[in-house]
Amino acid sequence: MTATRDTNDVEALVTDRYLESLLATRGDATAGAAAFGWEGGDLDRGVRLASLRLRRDLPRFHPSFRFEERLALRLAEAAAAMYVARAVGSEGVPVPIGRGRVTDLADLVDVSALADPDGPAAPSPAASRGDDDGGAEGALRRHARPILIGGAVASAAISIAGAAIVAWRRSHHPVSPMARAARAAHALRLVQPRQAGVERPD
Amino acid sequence: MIHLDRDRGMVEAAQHDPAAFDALYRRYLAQVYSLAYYELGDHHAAEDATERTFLSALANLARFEERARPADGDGASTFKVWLFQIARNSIASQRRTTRRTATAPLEAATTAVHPLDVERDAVAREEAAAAWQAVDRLPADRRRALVLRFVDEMTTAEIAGVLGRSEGAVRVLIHRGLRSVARDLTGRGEGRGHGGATTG
Repeated sequence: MTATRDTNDVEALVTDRYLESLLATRGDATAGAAAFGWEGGDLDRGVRLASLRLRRDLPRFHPSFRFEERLALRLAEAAAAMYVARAVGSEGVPVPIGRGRVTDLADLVDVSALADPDGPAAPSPAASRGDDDGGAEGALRRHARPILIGGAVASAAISIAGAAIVAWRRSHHPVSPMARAARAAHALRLVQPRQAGVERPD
Repeated sequence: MIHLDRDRGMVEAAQHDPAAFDALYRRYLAQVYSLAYYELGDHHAAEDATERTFLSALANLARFEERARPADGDGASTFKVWLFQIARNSIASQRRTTRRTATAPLEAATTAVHPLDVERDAVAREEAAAAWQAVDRLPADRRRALVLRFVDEMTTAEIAGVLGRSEGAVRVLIHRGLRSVARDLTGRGEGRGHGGATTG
């Protein structure tokens, strides 16, 4: 029993060595053997042929360009959302405003569902934050859109200042020569038809 | 511990700036997608699993720790192993919602190899289909090991990391898988050399 197992292990090692040489040279078995100084003479002929066949006949597939770019865009959006999360964590306070666009990666991928007890540690970001409460409130919180308080205040201040500028401009006539000329031309155009006795068509 | 991860620079850049994850995404997209495609046998299911894999990897990149050992060699990448562990879980999750259809990869694997030589093209298609069917009939762990070895060109150590097995166990899985494929192809009368398959 042990001898059989040892034999299997040795054969597996020989196969592994052969595959190293085969795959290192992209399927060119002769070049691979030359590079490693070994031609797989001890290897079972059937295993050797099967290796060559699989090396040749199992292609690597590439997804469509459309899918590639769509996923790249989604990853870029997720990366931007991570930036926002970092900024919120260091300088501001996240404020939930209704149900908005998903910005938390925990909403995109249920990482906890992917976790493998034998695999790498991949806990849910939501769980690590203590947001493991369920129900509608938890769902709403998970889908809340974080904003920067400072950014919101600054935005409001800019809007108020803009409104004030518009109001001031409407109540004050410009004093530049060009503005005066434009105003005079505008007034003249309003008066001219009556002076010429031309009736405006109804 | 000596760090040898070949993706170290890109991983550190992505940990500092998540937008830099794009480089890692482009490097491993085809490999992750191929594994998903061979495992799930469906184009859309493979895309879904691929998408979940990369989104999950990006979300958890800050927690990734490089653990390359000198014994892993110069080309080792613990990031790659970590990414494929996520992919394996994503595929398992996807499989629960998608029924596997073994025929789909055949269509992609048998695209025109020799477009100007119809007869050669037909033979190539037939051989590719036979090879894939032989692999598809293997038990899941052997099939997965062979796909990671031949399609994704992973080392035994990397496959061991992805599958959570010892390197010795992976070597035996691959060896037995190849023997099964050889028996299958021989049973079809394909035991003799093929298409430039130099026997060395």
